[in-house]
Amino acid sequence: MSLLSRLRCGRILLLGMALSLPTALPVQAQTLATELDADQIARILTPTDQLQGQFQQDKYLAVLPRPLHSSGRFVYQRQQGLSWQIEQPIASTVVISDSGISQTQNGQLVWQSDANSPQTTTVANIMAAIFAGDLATLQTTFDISGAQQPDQPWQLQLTPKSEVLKNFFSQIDMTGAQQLQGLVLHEASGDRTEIRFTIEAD
Amino acid sequence: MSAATSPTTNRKTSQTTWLTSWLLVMLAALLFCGWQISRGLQFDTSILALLPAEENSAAADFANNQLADNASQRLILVVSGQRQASAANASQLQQALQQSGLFKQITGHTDASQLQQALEQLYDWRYYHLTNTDRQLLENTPTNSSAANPLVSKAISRLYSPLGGSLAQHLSDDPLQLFDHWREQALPSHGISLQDDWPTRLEQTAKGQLWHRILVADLNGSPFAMGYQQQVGQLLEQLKASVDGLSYTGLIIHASYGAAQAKQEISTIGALSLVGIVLLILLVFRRPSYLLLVFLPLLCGCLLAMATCLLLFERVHIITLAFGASLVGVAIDYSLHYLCHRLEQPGSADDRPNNRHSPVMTAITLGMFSSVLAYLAQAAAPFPGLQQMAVFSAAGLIGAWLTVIGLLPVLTRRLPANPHVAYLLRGLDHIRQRWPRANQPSVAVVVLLLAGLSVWQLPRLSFDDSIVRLQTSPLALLKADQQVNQLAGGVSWSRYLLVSGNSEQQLLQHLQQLQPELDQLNQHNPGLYYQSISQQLAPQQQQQADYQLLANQVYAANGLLDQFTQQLGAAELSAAARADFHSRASHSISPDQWQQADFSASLRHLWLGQFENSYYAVVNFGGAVPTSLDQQLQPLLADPAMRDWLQLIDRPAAISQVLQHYRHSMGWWIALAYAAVLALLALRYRWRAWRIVAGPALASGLTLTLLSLLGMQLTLFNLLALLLVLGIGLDAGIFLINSRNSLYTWLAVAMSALTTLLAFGLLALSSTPVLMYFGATVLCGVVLVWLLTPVFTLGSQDD
Repeated sequence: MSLLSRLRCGRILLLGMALSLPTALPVQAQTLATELDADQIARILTPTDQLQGQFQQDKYLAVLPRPLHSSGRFVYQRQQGLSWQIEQPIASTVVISDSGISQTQNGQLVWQSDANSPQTTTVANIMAAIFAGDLATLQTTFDISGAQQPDQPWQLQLTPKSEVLKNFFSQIDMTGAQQLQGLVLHEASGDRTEIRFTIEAD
Repeated sequence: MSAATSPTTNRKTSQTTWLTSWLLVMLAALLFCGWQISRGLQFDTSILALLPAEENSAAADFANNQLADNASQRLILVVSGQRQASAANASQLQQALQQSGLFKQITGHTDASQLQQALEQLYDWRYYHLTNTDRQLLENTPTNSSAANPLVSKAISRLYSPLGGSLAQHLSDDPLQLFDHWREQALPSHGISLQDDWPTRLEQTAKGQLWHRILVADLNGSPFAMGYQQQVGQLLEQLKASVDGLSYTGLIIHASYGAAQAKQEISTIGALSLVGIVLLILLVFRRPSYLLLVFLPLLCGCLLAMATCLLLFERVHIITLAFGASLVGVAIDYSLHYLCHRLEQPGSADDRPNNRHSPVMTAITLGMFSSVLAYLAQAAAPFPGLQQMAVFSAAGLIGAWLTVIGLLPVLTRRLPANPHVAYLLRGLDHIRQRWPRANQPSVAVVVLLLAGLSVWQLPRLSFDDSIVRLQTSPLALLKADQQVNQLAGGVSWSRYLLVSGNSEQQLLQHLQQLQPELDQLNQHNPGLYYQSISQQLAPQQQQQADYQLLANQVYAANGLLDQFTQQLGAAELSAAARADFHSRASHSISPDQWQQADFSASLRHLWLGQFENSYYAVVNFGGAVPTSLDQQLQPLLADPAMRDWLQLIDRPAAISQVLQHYRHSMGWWIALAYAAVLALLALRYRWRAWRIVAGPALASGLTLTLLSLLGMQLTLFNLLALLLVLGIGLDAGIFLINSRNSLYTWLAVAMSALTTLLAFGLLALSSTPVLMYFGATVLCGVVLVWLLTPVFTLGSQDD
């Protein structure tokens, strides 16, 4: 949620702005062999209505010496949106859909934001577009550049076009072969979230 | 009694005495009024000031006055459209509003940094404010228990969410995210958020998203000042044409509509009425100077009335003045009857033998006494409004009477004969001979039937005292109002809770005590929300207790903080968090600090401050306010733990109640007035007195019957008009009986009826409900009184 509360209330500006992390960005750090052109980028992602699998997430926070590691399952369906089921270390479920974003723990609501907030809608749309491989939607909000080494996964860099969105994500990195393999969400504060996927066949 | 009835020996001296007394009284009244005006005259305008003292809480008055600015000095504007267009149009609007110089302040475009500053201040007091839910969770946490605590696990869960970002930055100064919970309570969005630097409400429509940008303009003039009102009105008209998707609401819109309507009516109804009266007087008397003779007593009457009211009452109510002045209208009878009588006896008044004068002066004096008695009966009612009105109209009648007695004989000393009147009189004679009289059996039957009908109808009359019926604004305006208020998240200023306490801290405690009940109310009414200072500011005691609770449960060794950091695998964070917490010991917030803080802007006006020996604050409601709110609040208002310091102020209901009280008592006092007048007249006319009272009584009864058969819901203002009908009817009856139905009296009665109809009856055409009710009743009642009075007075000689 805090992503949203930040924008709505400017809380992001409160504290901890001066932090800068040594940027160890595993996905981006590869040598960029071949720049991908727009056509190639368009062909990289295969649009899908449904995607599910396992995830491993590491959250690098400025104030913590070690990343926060979590794992679990995710299910994306065009109609229902994204269900992010964290199993370790504490079970909870984040649902990101057209009707907003909510998080529950043991069936109890931890936090929610409904679709009345445009920030919520924006974040929900971006997440949906990433999992659906909907490049057209992503291109309306991001400048996208990409690179691929022969026989290696492709890498895409998504840079927000609007200043408003930059308050959420300074950059999003995606990596994958046929399907999405990894995602890095860079936040304006310097914190970042790295996610690795193991996609399951339906 | 009057100059005319005094012994003949020295008429001239007697007349001089009356003239001197008139001069002295009027001079005194003029000086007194002038002195009062120079001291700065203040009129009551709040209709609640008309409530009987014991029903009108002084505190409620105080609150209403304090809140008046919020309710009346604001203009709320909404610009709707697509994202870019609406923002651009809103900028254009704000610029135009600012450039006009008509507004004190315009709240619209907001830099996110302003909001950030407010939040930073709020953040400063985070260790001293907990939400009720968090407080309960902390209180119920066994100390030093290692069992998973819901506050800890929720806080950790949020950190593990892929979108958990910014919370992580406050791990050492708000580890359990308690501030985040309190912020939602202290600065709720009610669906409005800052978008593109504009307070915005988003609406999902069939055509996609609609962006409503919200602006608030504070007036720098009175919404009732004609010139200012017009300037604002013109500006808004221009803006409406040039700014797409603009809508707005505010008292000034209604006030300016009302003023425009009144202006139009003054130029139509008013002009019609004035032209009619002037024509009538010129037609009968043929001399412009008669206009002065007719109206001078009225003017002098109003002067004396005003002076008397200013002398007797601390503050005079504007409504009293309006209706009092219209009742003084009866006094036009005195000049008309006197002048008609002088037509009958032309030449110099001084030349006439004294007894020639006596009948008309006696009748005028008797008419004055009976009307004053009838009106003064209202003064006994326990309503300040009725008392003032009674005093005003009684003093007015006395002033007019004194003018007729003292001044008119002097002014009409040399009165030329008027041959034109002869034609009129011949026509009247024709009518008089054919007029039905109550002595005829067939007429008596009809009269009895009509009287029976009125009496039968009386308990069946339907009254409606709701203030809503007096609403003058057109439906379209009210609808726009509602829409804008809904979009802008407006709160209701007409219905709110008033909370008191013996000290600032006790007041805050009471607000705190009320809050869980209000939360429950919210849960039962989706869409309803409330605004209370307790959402941002807790009593000192509670703040200290919250800090202590955090110290014991969270920041103590092995408390929730340690559990949290251990579960995160970052036990070293505890030290920094603890240091921050302890550095803010004795950092609670006082009411003064709160009022000066930026974040209190949205609630500051709810703090009313000290009045007499108590402190007051308001809790108000917004969003989807259910009509049953009053009922839902009843258990709270009746609760022995709260009823001493909690009251519901419902202004529309209170005003309707005022109207109902007045209407009830007015009915009884009118009946009493009839009885008193009948008794007075019986002293002189013995049992012929019924002939005088029967006319206005039957006319009033029939008027009510007729109006209600026409489907009109009756109000207080219909009854007020009946007092005028009584006054006119009494005069007509007394003069007719006194002059033995002389033709000149017939002429005077006709003129009296016609001038009253022109002055007040035409108000029936008004689209202002109050005036329309009054006018329709006068119209109906005076026509009937005019027709009916001769039915009873003709044949009085046969008694």
